[in-house]
Amino acid sequence: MRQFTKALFIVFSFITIITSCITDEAPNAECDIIKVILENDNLKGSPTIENDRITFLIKPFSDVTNLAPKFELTPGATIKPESGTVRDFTHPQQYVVTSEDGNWNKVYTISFNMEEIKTKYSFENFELKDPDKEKYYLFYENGETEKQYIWASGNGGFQMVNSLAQTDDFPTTIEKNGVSGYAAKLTTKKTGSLGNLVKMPLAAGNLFLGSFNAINAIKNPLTATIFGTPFNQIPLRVKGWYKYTPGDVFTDKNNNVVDRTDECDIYAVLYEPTEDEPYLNGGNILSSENIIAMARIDDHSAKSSFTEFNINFVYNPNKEFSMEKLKDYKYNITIVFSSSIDGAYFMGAAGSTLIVDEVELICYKED
Amino acid sequence: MKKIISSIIFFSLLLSSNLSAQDESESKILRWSYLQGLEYRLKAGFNIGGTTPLPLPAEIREINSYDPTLQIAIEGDVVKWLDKKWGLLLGIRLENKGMKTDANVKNYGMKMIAADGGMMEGYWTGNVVTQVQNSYLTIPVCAVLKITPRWEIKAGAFASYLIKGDFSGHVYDGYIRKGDPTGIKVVFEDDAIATYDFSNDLRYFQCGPEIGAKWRAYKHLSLYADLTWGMVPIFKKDFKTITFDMFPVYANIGFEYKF
Repeated sequence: MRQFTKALFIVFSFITIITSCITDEAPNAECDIIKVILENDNLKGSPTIENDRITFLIKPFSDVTNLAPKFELTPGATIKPESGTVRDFTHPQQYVVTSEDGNWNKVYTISFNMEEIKTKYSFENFELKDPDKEKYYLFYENGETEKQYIWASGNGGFQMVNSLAQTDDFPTTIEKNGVSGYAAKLTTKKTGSLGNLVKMPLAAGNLFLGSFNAINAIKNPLTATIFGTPFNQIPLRVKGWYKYTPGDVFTDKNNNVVDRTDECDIYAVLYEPTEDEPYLNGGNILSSENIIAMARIDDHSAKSSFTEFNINFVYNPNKEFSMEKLKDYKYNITIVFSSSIDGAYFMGAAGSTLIVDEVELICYKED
Repeated sequence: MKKIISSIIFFSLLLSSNLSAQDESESKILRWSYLQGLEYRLKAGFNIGGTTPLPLPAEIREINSYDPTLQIAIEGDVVKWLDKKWGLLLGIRLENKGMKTDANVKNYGMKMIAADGGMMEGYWTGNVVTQVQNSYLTIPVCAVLKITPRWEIKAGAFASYLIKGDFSGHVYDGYIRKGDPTGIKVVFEDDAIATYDFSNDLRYFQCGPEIGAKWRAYKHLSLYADLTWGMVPIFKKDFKTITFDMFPVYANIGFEYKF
């Protein structure tokens, strides 16, 4: 029996070895700007922090020549120039964040966009997000002095489950034959087996004024689409041209075939961001109490040739509209295009294609 | 594998019943063997251990849980006694080496691959559940030393061939940095999990030292405990996703029947 005890002892000491020899934690390898702090009364909303870019919106004619943003970084990471350094942000400035272990660094570009956002969109300006890693197109607008990266799509999420995807494979891309020049082409796509694995079998092509937060893309996909950008005009109408071909087979979240014809969606929303709801996202963009006005197409069905839409904003009678807040950029506006009306819930028909072009946001002009 | 094991058990039972039925020829063979200094043994036991990096790398922060799971080993040995104390052992063993762990990791290399080529590779910080279930055909070769009439120890080496491997699991409650630690951060929380399967990246060959001790309880029946320490990393050379090498280190305890 002693032998058996000994054997047991060997086993237990072995397990003890395995569990007790946790080595010291290695220094952090990440190098993120987690938060950026800047006290300035002229800022419009809070900055957008992406993986390697931070964008501030600031009121026109603000002084950006000596600003000293402060940063909260991954614990242990360092930044150059140092946090709190005064810099001239007339042009975008770069910062290098180095990880605690010294092995990794990331270059952040920080820009202050001062111009009002464009309200006419022809989708003629686009560039690859990252020619090496993220080979999808990003639409931007050309301001007087700056590129306005106001358009976002779910391509970043698609890329995650489809890292081999080429430019043409992405749900949101360019179309050569627009009404005039290029147009935006949104196609509902299957995400493949990895997408199925994370219960996202389908990705609708989408394009919207706002940003895409990849962090939430799998945890809570509805919150990954962050709609809206600060706006100070009274929107009246959205007009433009679209063409829509629904895909053949409509499937639901579990990839089961449903007898339904896919529909497209085009809408615009003006809303008031609040502390609890700083942004509207895919889950509440059409239902939030903070919506001030909404314009949405009535006809979501197929259009074989370019068809004009011209939709009026309907103001919410239950929500107070304050001219003062509007002028102070306390309201956000978004325009959303989707190739599958329920794409946010992973329902739609693969192949559904929405092409949009020459879109304009028409606002009240005070003379 | 289960089939093989059960057929071995079946045959050994058959063998023993045959032996008792054919008492005469049995004792003849055994007598002849005894004169040659040969001894036959049949062992059955459990493998308890881990397929693990050694020492644990900094990436592994905490073992949340460990389950040795049911891992069976069946072995047949021949011992050639050189003198009263020393002998040489040659055997054949069919065994499973496996376990299930749930560990908290930081910057752990991770890759999810789907059948159609979709994949996500990067550095994972969070929890990883790993299930290992490897079936090996193993040849142990050992020197045996009889210390007392009841005690025997042995030391030698083993070489294994992987018949069927499973190294898979899932990650939960954490985030992946795509590509490298500077890549896009994607959070997995609540119900969001991602599975992985590195079974096809397992190496077929395995070898290492083997030591053991046994205690004879009855004339034919002994209790034994062996330790096998795999020295070859379990993954193929070109497999880089997990950034550290892992080795199978297992204790095998059970009963031995000597003919």
